[in-house]
Amino acid sequence: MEQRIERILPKVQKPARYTGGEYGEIMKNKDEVDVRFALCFPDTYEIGMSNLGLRILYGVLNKMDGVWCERVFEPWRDMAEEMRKEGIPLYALESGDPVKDFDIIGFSVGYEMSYLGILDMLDLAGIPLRSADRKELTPIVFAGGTCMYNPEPIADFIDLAVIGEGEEADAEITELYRKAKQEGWSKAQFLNEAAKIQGIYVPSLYDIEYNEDGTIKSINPKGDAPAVVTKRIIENLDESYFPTDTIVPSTEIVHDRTVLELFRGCVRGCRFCQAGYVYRPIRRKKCETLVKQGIEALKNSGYEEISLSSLSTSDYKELTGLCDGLLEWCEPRKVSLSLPSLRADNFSMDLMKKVQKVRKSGLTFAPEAGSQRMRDVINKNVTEEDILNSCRTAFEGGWSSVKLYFMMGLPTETDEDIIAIADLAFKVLNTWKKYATNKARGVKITVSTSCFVPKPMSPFQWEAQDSMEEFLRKQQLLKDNMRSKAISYSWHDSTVSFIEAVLALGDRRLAPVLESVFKRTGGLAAWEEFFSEEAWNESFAENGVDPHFYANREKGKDEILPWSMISAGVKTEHLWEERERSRRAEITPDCRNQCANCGARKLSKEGRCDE
Amino acid sequence: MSKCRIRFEKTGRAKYISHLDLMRTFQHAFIRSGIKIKHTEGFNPHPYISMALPLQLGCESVCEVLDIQIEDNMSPKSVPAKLNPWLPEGIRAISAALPINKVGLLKYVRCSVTIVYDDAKAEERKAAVEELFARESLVIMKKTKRGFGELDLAPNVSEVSVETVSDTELKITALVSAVEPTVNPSNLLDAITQNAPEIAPDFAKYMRLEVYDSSMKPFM
Ligand code: SF4
Repeated sequence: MEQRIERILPKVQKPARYTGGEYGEIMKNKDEVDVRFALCFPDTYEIGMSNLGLRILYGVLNKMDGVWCERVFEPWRDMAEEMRKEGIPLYALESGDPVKDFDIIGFSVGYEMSYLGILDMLDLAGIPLRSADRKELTPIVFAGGTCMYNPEPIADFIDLAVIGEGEEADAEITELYRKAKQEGWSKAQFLNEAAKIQGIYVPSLYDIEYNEDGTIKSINPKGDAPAVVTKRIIENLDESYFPTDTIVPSTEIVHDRTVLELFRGCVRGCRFCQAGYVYRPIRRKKCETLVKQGIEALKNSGYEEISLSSLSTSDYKELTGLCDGLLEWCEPRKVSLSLPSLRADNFSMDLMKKVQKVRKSGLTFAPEAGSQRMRDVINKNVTEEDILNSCRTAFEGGWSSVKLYFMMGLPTETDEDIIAIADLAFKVLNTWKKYATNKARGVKITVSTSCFVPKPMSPFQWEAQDSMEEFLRKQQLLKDNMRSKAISYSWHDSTVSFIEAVLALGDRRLAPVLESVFKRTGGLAAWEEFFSEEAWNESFAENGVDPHFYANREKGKDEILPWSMISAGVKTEHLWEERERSRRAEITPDCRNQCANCGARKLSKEGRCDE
Repeated sequence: MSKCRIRFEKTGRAKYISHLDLMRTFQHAFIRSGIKIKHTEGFNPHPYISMALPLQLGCESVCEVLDIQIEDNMSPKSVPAKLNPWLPEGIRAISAALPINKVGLLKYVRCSVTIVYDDAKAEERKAAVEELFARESLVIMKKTKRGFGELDLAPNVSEVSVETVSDTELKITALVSAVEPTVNPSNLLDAITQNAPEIAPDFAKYMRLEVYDSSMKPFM
């Protein structure tokens, strides 16, 4: 390890996250490598190493001959300060080599608030922030991840974006880069070729024209850039790479366990949910594959916990078989199985009991809205009866604490809908009073509300977010309507949600704002302690950008949206149709009952959804 | 069931793994290795591992001691070969055997502190360093559980030798008290910075070299 780095490590918190050297890390001989890939995660090591997508890409890229993919995370403030003070550039964990000497720098971006992390990391690396200021082929800076369904707010910083699942596209970009390097292409030539690959969006190849009112007049592709970039998907998840041989961090991370991905996509179609739309079509892994991979990953890591992750785990058809298959191996070895994101139905409760044999975890339900009308608007197909029945089963089974998650500021929401949240919580309390087997322990019901953020590529992409004042008023209203001390209420800060909406719905005119905020606050903006409302307000003002234009304005049906050049495979007409139905509080059956013809199945060669 | 004491080293990048994280790292490594060891009791059992003398973060060591209980009839001697492939870089079991000493008998540690002078005038300061550690009394302020306290190193540090490694580096080797009081290698640096600030180095590296029982036999 470099002397200068060794000297600052004793001064910072949790230095193990800056050293690499963990079990399972991939080291390569530099002489046998011609493409160096820096896989960057614009947040801390603890969060990044908990990200399954990152581990998949790390494995896929390192399987390529001549390619060495290394990890880079955003250092915590103390470390970043020491590095800047000592002039130590951002380095990759495996080799300790400076990121600026790498060929390809790929960011995985899953959360809008981490955009500042990209700037922080580029700055720490000593790489010019703007794509236009990086004239050479090397390094190529790109981004992928869920946020790239609207890449526009960071369009000026990245050379290209990978839209959709990156396992294949990242490898193709890497191969193309290798060719470009060997043949001595210019950066422009490389980008023009890259734009021909499906799922690759090259922002500099699109000119955006604006109307006087600030809306977009036209999006004009140049060169070989397609008018619409359609996302990439992996068709067969059983055959695609899954990291059973993976890094085991030597320091505690957020999810210190084996994670299995049951399927991609979701049959439900909740209208607020971006993930539910952008991960279509539904593709599931076979039960045998999952059991095999899960056991292998546990053996190879030594982890004592495995969790099943997917958008709606209980929709996995063979869930019981899967749990049985895993538990058979796990129970005698004292490995626990956890199931997040269960739906509030009886089927799940049976499972909960089974899982509980190994370890009891908290019980959470996400009705998302308090009134049935509101749940119909968002197409959350769960009834009050479902919720109360599940709670009853839970209380009868000895559970005494329940968390309920709701969203506030949903389209068409009225004060009655807000008060209905309090009513529902009260009914849950009454259910406990009536059915709890163990009343001596008391009951704890926690209601938590988040602020609705309209997201691109969802049926609510045209909606306006509530103003901050309105959120505050609604939070107070709900608080005033809570009727028991056994029910506690907590809510998300609407300021962060407002910025999140601006970044989710924004366009490339936000680039200077991001630069200004970064100058004021540095990175790690997703962390409450570093978020500064003032810095954002000053930066919007300084750059003449009205954030409400993006967040709080309802968009028209025919408005060209900033992400109109991107397609997740779901037809815009379908999204609009869903939006119209939401206005009538009409539900749409889930994909398993009836295909709504959203268009996503056309992305698969066989033209079908594996619901 | 057999008790087993492992001697291991923790060097290089691994020196930044904290004590708690090291415990976890060993737990995972034992599971990976397939060596069956006793687990803790309770709802959430983990492989049971105990370390006699926690190592300071940032300090390397070639003499760490770890106790486990093997559940099947595997011989303790075969543990290092079975465990080593499953450990991260820098952590390596050197030997393993039935414990001889009780943990409470661990009394002394031989350690080294390599002090670095960026101006390449290490040699010039050697005599001053030697003089410092030869003093009758060498009091430092030390962090304790109850804030700061004074500790006289002189009666707790012996066999000090200072060796010139290069223009920039001096290596101080000493035998220090391991418990009651605990003298950490970094306390030797504290002695310099607090009592002779004029020869305070720009950087220091620490290493534990050997652990002994009260009769100065290697702790086994
Ligand atoms: S194509 Fe049909 S089944 Fe597939 S995701 Fe769209 S609506 Fe659902």
